[in-house]
Amino acid sequence: MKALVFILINLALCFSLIAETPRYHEQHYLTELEALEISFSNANRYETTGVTLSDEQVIELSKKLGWKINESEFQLIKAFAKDNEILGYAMVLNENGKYYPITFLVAVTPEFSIKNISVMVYREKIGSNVRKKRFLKQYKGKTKDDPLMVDYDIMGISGATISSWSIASGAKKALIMLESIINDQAESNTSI
Amino acid sequence: MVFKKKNNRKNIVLKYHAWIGSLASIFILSLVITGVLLNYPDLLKRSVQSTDPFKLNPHRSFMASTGHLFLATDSQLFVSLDNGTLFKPLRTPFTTKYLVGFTESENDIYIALKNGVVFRANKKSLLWEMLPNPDTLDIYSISYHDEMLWITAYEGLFSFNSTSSWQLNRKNDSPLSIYQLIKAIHTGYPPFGWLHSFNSIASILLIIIVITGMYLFAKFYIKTLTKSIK
Repeated sequence: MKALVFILINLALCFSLIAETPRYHEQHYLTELEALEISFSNANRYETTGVTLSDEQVIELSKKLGWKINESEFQLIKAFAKDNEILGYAMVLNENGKYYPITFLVAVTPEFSIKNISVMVYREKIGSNVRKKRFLKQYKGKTKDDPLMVDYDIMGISGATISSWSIASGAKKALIMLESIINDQAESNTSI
Repeated sequence: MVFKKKNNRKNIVLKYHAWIGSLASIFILSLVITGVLLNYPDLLKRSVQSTDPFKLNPHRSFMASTGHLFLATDSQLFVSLDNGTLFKPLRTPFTTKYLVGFTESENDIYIALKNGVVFRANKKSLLWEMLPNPDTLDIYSISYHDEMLWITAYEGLFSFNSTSSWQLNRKNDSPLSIYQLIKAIHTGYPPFGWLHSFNSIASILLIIIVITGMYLFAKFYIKTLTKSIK
């Protein structure tokens, strides 16, 4: 009897492995606030502003990046310390994975190097390992001048190749956009 | 007397079995270690960058009607506008080692990547964007005809036009040959993809068994050697 139960359990396990699993598998790991708190532990307050890029700006930034930016509206988050000192900037991105977008936050220092990346929502059955520290810590300190290429300066995750590309290309996009937007804002402030 | 002869024969067999086994274990160990590493090729294939595509293993080329000559290498995509005299690297949001094919429409270039991803770039801007992806993890080829994109994949023949999603036009019903079946089981490829992790775990267990076996053999051999010296 025991042997029969053992065989049945093993058969069920094998079938569960073989059986086709649904592709959509939404998992929420962090809220935006939690992701911000991980990135800027000393922050006292956050300021979120909507940024709308013109068509020319989108084309110019896409050329800098090397691939197409499909959105023109972004939320720019600024993190401030108690004394109003700026601690850095952040942006929430929705980059396409194999079938569904991955939502993650890219936080940068005031000098525009990556401070932290946190995966907030992952929607596919396979590849959620891109949220792991061993993958995300590789981005720390990278700037827009770094290649940020999987298999070159970023080691991808086996079984999550496309998600690794999405995070890497999103990180590069965030670096280029944040620097450009902040510099544009600073220029317009000085001209006033 | 007969008993002694039998015992001697048994001892000889045991002795040779132990020695041959220890030599075979080195062979098994090397196979298991290289096998488990090959199961995770991304860890081994750290690519290099260069401005010369011919230092990076060029493996696919495509001449577009606009005169753009694309050259895919293991780590970068290059383009030439002078019939291959000078090549310029292009930035891509994907790893070019997976590239299996190019095709073009009137305004765009399309590329297919082995792991089931298709990218498109406008011929003028050469800025890449990911298309909705077909339901496959194994693309073989890509072509374009009559405003439709076609790919052949493990699952069959897919088509796509800009107003719809990917359609599986013909399902691949080919039976697996014995060779393909054995290869799929051995490597953990589709339809035995679920074996991939199982193979790795089994390999690690095998490494442990082989190493402990070698240790036990060495220990036993030293013990008997010291005994015989005494």
